Amino acid sequence: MSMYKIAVVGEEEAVLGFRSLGADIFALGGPEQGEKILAALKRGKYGVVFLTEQAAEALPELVKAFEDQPLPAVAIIPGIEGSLGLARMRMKKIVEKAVGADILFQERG
Amino acid sequence: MEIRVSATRMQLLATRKRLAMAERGHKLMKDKLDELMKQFLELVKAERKLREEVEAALGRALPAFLQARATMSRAEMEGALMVSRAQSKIEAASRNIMNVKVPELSWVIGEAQDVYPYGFSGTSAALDDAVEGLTKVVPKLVKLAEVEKTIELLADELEKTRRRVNALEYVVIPNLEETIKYIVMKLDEMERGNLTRLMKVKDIVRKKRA
Repeated sequence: MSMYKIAVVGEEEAVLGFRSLGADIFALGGPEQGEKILAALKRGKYGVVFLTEQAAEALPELVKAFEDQPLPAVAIIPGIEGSLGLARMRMKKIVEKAVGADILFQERG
Repeated sequence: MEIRVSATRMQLLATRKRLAMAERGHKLMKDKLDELMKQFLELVKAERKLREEVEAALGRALPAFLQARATMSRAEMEGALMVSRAQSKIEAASRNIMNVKVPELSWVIGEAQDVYPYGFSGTSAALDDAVEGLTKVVPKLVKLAEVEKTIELLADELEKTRRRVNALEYVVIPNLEETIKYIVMKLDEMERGNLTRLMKVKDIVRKKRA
């Protein structure tokens, strides 16, 4: 059993709150920050990485980078503007890939 | 499909053995696929419910920070939040689902009893509420991350397993069956050829005697 840190990536207003919980935050700046964030995430011992939807949209490589590793678990969370349905889309894709057909989400879109 | 085996009884036996093995493997793989699928669908269902809850909760918690922000200056707010006493960590164990290692995460909050990282002067009650609201969401968030990760990993395994099942079902097994058929027919043909030859020889021998 080992301990890991929490990372939150997103626009400043949304991630600030997580700072108070002791998570490491990466505020979204220019696009050149993307690589550095990814490198920092890879270096640090993170168990969970939360991406706001804005971050997931701006830096899709962050979502993909850890796909086939058990840790860290990357989850997309709604940002300050509420949910855009990005996380749902991601799950939908995964389910489609696994099942071979869109069997769950078709009726509710 | 081209069949490149010598039509011998030895080959026939070996191929039959391989077919039996392939069929057994196929059955096992199929069972694994079914079980994986069952677990997978359950998780997907759980994920949807969790996601709805989390999004609703975060939808309340994050705007609270904006509200707090409105009552305080930016510097004050950042000053209050940047220094964190809470040492929250993620405790990770791993679990085995059908031979897929998946993480099991839980949120551990450090020795600091309360999560308010700041003194109460210069901060607003709205900020307290915001922090409290967020604290309540985080365990669910962590659970969501765990479930989504598990789904991701299972999806990978599902795809691989299905590919194997299909390869066995539609390529390997039909090929082996074809091969067996080919050998059997070839052997039968040789048998018939042999028989006619023997009959012919007997005829010739009989004619010479006569």
